[in-house]
Amino acid sequence: MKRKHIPLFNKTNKVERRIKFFMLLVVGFFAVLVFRLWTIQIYRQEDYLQSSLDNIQRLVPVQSIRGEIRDSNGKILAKDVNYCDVWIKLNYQNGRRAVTPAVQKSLEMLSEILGKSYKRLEYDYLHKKRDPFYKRLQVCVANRIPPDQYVILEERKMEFPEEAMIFARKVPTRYYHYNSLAAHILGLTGPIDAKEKDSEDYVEYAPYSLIGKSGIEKQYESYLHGSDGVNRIIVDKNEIQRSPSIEVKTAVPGNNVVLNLDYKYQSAAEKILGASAGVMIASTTDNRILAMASNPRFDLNEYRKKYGVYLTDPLNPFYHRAVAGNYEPGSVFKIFEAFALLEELKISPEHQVYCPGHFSKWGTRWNCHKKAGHGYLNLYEAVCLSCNVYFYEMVGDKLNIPGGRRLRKWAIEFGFEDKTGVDLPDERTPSVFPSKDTERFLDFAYTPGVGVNNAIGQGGVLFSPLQVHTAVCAITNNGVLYQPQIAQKILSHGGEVKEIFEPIKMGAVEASPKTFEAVQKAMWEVVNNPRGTGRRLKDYPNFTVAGKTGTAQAGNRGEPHAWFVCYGPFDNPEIVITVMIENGGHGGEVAVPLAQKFLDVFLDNVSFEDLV
Amino acid sequence: MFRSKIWFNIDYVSLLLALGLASFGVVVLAGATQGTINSGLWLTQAQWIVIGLIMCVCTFLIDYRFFIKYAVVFYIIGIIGLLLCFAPYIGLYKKGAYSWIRIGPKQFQPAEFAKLATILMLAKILGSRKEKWTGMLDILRPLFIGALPAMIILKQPDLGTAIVFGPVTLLMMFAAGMPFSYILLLFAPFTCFIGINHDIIAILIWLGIMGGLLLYSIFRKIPWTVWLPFLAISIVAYIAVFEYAETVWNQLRDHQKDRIVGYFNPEIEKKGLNWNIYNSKVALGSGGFWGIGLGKGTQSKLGFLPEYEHDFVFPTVGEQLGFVGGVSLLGLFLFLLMRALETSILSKTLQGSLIATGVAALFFSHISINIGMVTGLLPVTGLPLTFISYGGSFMLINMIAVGFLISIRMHTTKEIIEDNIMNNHPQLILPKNTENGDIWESS
Repeated sequence: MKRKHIPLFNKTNKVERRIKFFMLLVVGFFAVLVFRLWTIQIYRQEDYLQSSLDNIQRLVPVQSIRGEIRDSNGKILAKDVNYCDVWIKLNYQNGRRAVTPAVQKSLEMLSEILGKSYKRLEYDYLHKKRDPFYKRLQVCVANRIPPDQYVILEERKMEFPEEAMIFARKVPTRYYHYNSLAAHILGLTGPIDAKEKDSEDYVEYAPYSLIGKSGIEKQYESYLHGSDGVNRIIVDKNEIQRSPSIEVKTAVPGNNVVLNLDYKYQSAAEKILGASAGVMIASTTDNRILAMASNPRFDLNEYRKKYGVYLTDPLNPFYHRAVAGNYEPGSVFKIFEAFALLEELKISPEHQVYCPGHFSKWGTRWNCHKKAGHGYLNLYEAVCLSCNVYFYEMVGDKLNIPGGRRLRKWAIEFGFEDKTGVDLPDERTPSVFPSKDTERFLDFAYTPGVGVNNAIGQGGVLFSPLQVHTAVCAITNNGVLYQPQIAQKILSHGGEVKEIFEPIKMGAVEASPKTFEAVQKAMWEVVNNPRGTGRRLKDYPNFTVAGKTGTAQAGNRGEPHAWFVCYGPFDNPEIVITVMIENGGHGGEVAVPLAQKFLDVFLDNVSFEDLV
Repeated sequence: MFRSKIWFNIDYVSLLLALGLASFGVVVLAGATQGTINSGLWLTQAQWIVIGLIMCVCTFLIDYRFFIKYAVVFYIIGIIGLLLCFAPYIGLYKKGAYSWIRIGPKQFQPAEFAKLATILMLAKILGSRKEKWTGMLDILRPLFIGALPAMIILKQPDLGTAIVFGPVTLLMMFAAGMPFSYILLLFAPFTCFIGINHDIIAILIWLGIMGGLLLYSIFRKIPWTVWLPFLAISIVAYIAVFEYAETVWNQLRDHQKDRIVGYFNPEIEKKGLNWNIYNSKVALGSGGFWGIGLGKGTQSKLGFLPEYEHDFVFPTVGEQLGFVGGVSLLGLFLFLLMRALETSILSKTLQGSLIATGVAALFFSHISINIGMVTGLLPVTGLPLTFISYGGSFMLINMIAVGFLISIRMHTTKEIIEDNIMNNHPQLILPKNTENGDIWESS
């Protein structure tokens, strides 16, 4: 081994000093690092521990199962079923959502499986709102996919790229078994919005939780909703769940609401009304609603899809006519005027008035519906034949002059000025003319013409059909005014009775029994007199009906509204029916046959299937 | 060779330190990857440690002067290797950089080898110069040697690795006894960054610094050939920055901009800018004092810690073993560095001393830049952590570097003997027949 000698260079002390300085530098920097580590790992440990949990831990709300809505026989009208929402992980580029190749692949596969168009999915991916629970890293691209598609999705989950993973989450979704049955009464559910979240009623609700938006769903929200649970999961960077879910808070299912509604009567009423816009209400005399049909209706399950169609429909299916509708009652109002006449003017029912076919006073002439005139008639005949002149003279002239206060007093007695208090959220305040606000002007504002018009239930008297119905109920049970009640009781999820809603008395009509007797007799006459306007209903064996027809002029808005209110049996009333057909025509010709059909169903004369 | 008492001279402390650190890395890696798809990674790493150990032994068995002698060859091989990265078929494009070459099934990072070759070359150049630092060439030569591979690596582009050449070169020049005034002048061009600020005060400050340097140079009687170029460069650089900083900024890549903006705005933690650093700090912080236990780390396993086996390996240490683990690791590093610098002091030759200093500088820059980065002290640059990060070439080079240290220490013992001989029997060391000049031949 031969090597050339490498000359030695002696190190100077300077070099050694420099290296020692280097040592100092190293020690100094290490001290800085240790201090830095101390800051991060000990001084700020709590913060970073929390941040590390924020990274990996998600507290996911578990929607509670919403209570069922059932009819009085236990038939399920509305219930929660499990559908799936499909979520996708968002990819960001430069702080914006971007359709990266991975996302594109995911969306293409989704569109193939779900049968949705790719463009639609991409639009949703780019524009839909993000989810707060997954740190706004996911977006829902498909709502409520059916179970079979869910199965395929779960099978093929591994084929999706990890950067744009999809997540199928089960979501309890409201399903209404009979689509449009009692649509207005049952109402809709929807995600809670910001304004509702701030209100006191929804303090404990998680954002995005489903709440009732109208009808029974809204009215009994506190019973139906239950309480949402929380699950804790561990996720990785791509938001893929890496641990089994741990229940932090158990979801408590909501209570079931049992309605007074009877599926049979409700669907019969809706079928009877058919395509015409109208209302049919049937209840017991203490105003437990057995059926409350309001046509046209909307499909509760598919209303989102058909929303445009419903909005452009001139009849407005979203309009709950029974509760929020304002209609002039027409001649139906006469039975309430009869109370005023008998109580305020103290006349005898036998008091006769001559009807020449018209009523002329103050230089104006008002016609009776019978041009030839009815001749002399007493109160019974006047109600029975629905003579206008009798009421023009007695109410329009004698009772309402001056000021119409006495008629108004009796309208208030029957609860026409306030809401009925029905357990539905969308009731509207009725208007009685003269109203509260105009009372101080009555002496000069309430002209005789208005009084005469009011005498036949027109000219500013606007009630909802339910209002009229409630008043008729009061007549049937001699003056007790009951609040209309749609819900009957609350059952727990297990089936125990939690709360029963008894009929609520709102007030009493303070009239003498004689007066009630007279008016009831007049209503009996309407049906059972061969000349009466409701004579079609007189042939029921062992079931005597009493009622009153009404034909409220709609002016230039087309045909008059057809009204009919009735109850039966006469001696011991069980059922009260109100029919109102918007722009239907004459009450006696249009509304009475519908009531007859309903009575056929009620008395089991016609089997339910035959109605179709 | 084997007849000598060489085996008793081995610096077992350095060797054990290197092995300990490497094992520490393997354990941490095994813990961090446990239960993930990378769970076999620690085995590969262990294999590399064994290979590295063999290389280390091979290295320290050779006299370090042999490496000094052929430093030029190594250096040229290193440069060619770096250039080969750009060659078709051999070069490999990976993770956005041409920093790999492929020989058969194996892949290497020539940049790692170039680091050692540069250290050797610098040691040769700096160690065999004259006693006094005179003229510009003394500074420019080592600077050029350090800058050449760095420039090539910067082209790949691999900023992190390129940056390492800076501290290594400067620290070696510093250790070689470069006058303090030269160091000051060397840093003068960096004042050009003041030019980013267009305030009149900033301009005045810069002018003051320049004037001060000028006066200092004149009073210390530094030859004008030295200070004039530096000041000229400073002025040109300042004007360039003053005029074109915005243009250069606009030409930076988006992630580089983000890193710079993120570094100067550490309070922006979560989204975008400091995402890496934020998650790295979160991983460290969640470990607390004792750590959450080996193999239980969540941030790395669930993918929040980017590159946790390479550049962000330290947070996994902190997460699994806590403050205790992190400080222990730092302690081991400090011990190794002190050992290297001690070797440097003990070495009888300037070259040996410089190699040891270079190795220490290499380790130190890797450790400080890496840990400084993951703790948010320094901006983000991709640089692995010595002995701990996963990577074959890197482990080999670290082991060989430790081999240098051991070799220097071992042969220093021989040098002492040599000195004795020279002092007592000069006829043996200075033979007339130059062909038999090697003392080992004669002893």
